[in-house]
Amino acid sequence: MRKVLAVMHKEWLELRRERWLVATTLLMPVLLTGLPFGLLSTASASTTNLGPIADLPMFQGFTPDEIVQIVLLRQFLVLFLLMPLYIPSTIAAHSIVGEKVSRTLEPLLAAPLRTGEILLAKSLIAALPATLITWLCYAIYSIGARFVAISGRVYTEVFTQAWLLAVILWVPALAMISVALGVIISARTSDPRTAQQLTKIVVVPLLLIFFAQLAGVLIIDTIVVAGTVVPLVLLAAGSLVVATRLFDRERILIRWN
Amino acid sequence: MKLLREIWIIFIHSLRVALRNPMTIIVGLLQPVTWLLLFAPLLKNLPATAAFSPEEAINIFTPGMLVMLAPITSLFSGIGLVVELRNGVLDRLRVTPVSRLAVVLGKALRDLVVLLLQGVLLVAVAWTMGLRIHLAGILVGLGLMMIVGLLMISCSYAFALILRNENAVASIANVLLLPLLLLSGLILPLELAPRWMQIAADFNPLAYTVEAMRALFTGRFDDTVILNGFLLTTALAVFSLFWATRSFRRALA
Amino acid sequence: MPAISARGLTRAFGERVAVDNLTFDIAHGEVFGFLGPNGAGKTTTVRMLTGLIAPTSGACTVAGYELGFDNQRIRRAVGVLTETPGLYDKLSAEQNLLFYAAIYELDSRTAREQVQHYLRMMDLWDRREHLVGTFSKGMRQKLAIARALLHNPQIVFLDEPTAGLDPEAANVVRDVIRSLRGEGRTIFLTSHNLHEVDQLCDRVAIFRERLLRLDTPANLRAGLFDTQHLIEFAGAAEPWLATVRALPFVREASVEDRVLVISLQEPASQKPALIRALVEAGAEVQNVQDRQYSLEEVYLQLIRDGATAGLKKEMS
Ligand SMILES: Nc1ncnc2c1ncn2[C@@H]1O[C@H](COP(=O)(O)OP(=O)(O)O)[C@@H](O)[C@H]1O
Ligand SMILES: [Mg+2]
Repeated sequence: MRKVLAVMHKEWLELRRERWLVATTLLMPVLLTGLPFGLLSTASASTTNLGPIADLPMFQGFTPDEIVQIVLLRQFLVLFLLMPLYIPSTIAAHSIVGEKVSRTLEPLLAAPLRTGEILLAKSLIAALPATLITWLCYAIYSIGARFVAISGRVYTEVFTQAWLLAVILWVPALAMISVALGVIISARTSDPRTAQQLTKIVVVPLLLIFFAQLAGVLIIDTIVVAGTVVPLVLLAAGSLVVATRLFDRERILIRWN
Repeated sequence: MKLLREIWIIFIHSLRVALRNPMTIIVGLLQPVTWLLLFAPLLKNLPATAAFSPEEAINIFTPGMLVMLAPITSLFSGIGLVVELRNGVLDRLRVTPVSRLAVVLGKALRDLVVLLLQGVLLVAVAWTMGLRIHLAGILVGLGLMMIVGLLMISCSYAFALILRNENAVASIANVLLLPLLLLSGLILPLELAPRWMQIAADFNPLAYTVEAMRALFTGRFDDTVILNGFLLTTALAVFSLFWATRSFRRALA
Repeated sequence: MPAISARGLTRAFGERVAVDNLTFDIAHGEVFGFLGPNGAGKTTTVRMLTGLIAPTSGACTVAGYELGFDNQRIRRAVGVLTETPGLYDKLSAEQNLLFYAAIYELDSRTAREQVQHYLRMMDLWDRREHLVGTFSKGMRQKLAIARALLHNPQIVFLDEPTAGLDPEAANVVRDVIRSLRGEGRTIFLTSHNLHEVDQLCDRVAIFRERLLRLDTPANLRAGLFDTQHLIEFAGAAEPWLATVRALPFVREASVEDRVLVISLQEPASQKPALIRALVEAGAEVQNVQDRQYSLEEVYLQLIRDGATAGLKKEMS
């Protein structure tokens, strides 16, 4: 464990110096949290055409203005699932291929480190900040929404226990899955560009959820969260194991020249 | 003439370098296809409440994907340039009289060829999934996609030459990509989106490109959105090309 | 048990054999030079011996551990200077070393002491807080050597430690190697620089794809060629060539300018007889000299032979 911490510390020292990376990593959640409030403050039934969505049975009993708010607030919640997938992908994509191109990988592999230790450290250093940032942003969003919501029932309709649970449990798992995928890609490519480009595939499932929810197909309740959390955590752990298995020390060294 | 020959030389050279690593290209080619395959089941399950029928989904979705493809692949082009800068590959160009515009276009052409292949592959796969084909429209549409590609590549090159750090280029690409993806109606038509999203999307140049692309795919050549989309995209591409060339000139001075 | 013992170590990259059937033993405390031109397979050998890549065939023990079975232990027991220093540019010199100290599980006090010790030894103590990205090539190389030594490994691999350094920096690095030798460590030093291995090593392996020769520097110098005797006359040397060739114990004789170049079957005992024979035949011998070959000539000859042998093998 000490070695894992040592690698994490080293990664941290390096990342700290990447000014643009730090700036954009911090900017993304600011954008994603700020945008909703800006739009919410102007949205009402007269400016927003929800079309057929407003007729969905779950909105029965709400006023049109309330429905607009519920739909918008709920739509933005999906962004908090996007953040843990998207934010760490740059760091994860860079993790191995970055050391390849800067030629620091060989001494690292020559040191008494297990592959699992290297990958765990590199995954954690990408997933931890993303998780913390997402939690913080969710806290800001859910507290801020209290002031924007036009009625108490709008708030309770959107900010359910299920969503709180989802953010607490799903976010770290999603971050680890995204990162493990990024690390696999990073270890298997020989140029940083391909690695960055390929890791963007992580946003696909999220766009699916985004539109599924908009169309009213997906409703996230406690049962959904409880039912998916164990598979997700297993998937996260599994991806890391797969990443370790796929990490071919020798190939990584000799395929780079 | 001289410019064309220089572009060709740079293009062939960078293509050769790229072909040393064919896996990269193959994986890149397959990327959009995977996306399509991932999305397809969801599109089939869209409820009838949406503004179009599930059968229509692929026709609306494919043009959007085609426009989205350009930023997703091309915004990262500059990262390769950063690696070349560090390895001293670009230094060799410094002493040659090759026009800097030729360098940008020659290098961009390589990525554009890959982009074109991706686009063709995407359309082909979508066709097997029920896409209605209007051949002339699609051909012009692929041209439009390449202009978007050139715009994104030029911007990425400029970032790369100014910042000289691959993480910085990747970070900027990410930040730009996110709103482009979310707010352009790339995936589904903006009419379906709430009004706020439409307002926000008006500020996104790619939204016009997507509309033009959709019109092209249905062969509505008289639709003014096509002209608007082309004009805006081309203007931006020319501007960014100018920017990238100037950055090259500075970097190689 | 030797520090390193290789048996038939072979490594191919696809069709291309980079290291062919390499066998040697290195004793504890020995400084072992591994000499070969670029592309000879030195780095490949070091990578195999440190468990970074697997041999295609053959076996090897390093520090008593079997390669391929105990690689983690081997990595802990040895220190490696890889072909490229591979330091983190965005970390300071001290941070680079402290990171590796932690990986080798030194406790934090020992780590600080070791880091300070080696930074001072490498004359980098004053620059310890500077980013490695600002360092010169020589400074990086010294820092990378320090990194290889932090955990006091008994076996140290140095892959071309002076390649690409300016003469002054190269000398500093050689001094470091000398002092390591004084500490009784086993050192596997690869190089394409003859004088370096000549100065520093107990034994030298001359290597190009295969092991061409393995001996002490002195024996290498003496063993490959005969000593040649150069005989200078008052006048032309040409007329005496026939006289010399007629002697039964002369193996070879030729003329270079005004000098006769002669190889004997047994130099020590036959040299007086040679001179006596010339004087008796009426020659005015002005000067007699022995010509010793430099290690460089030995090396070049071996490498050339090795190349032609390889060529012959390919053609047959
Ligand atoms: N990763 C690799 N893939 C293919 N061939 C390689 C690889 N690494 C080394 N070689 C080949 O093996 C030979 C020995 O290389 P190397 O061990 O680096 O030599 P040296 O260190 O003595 O200069 C070279 O001919 C080189 O082309
Ligand atoms: Mg080498």
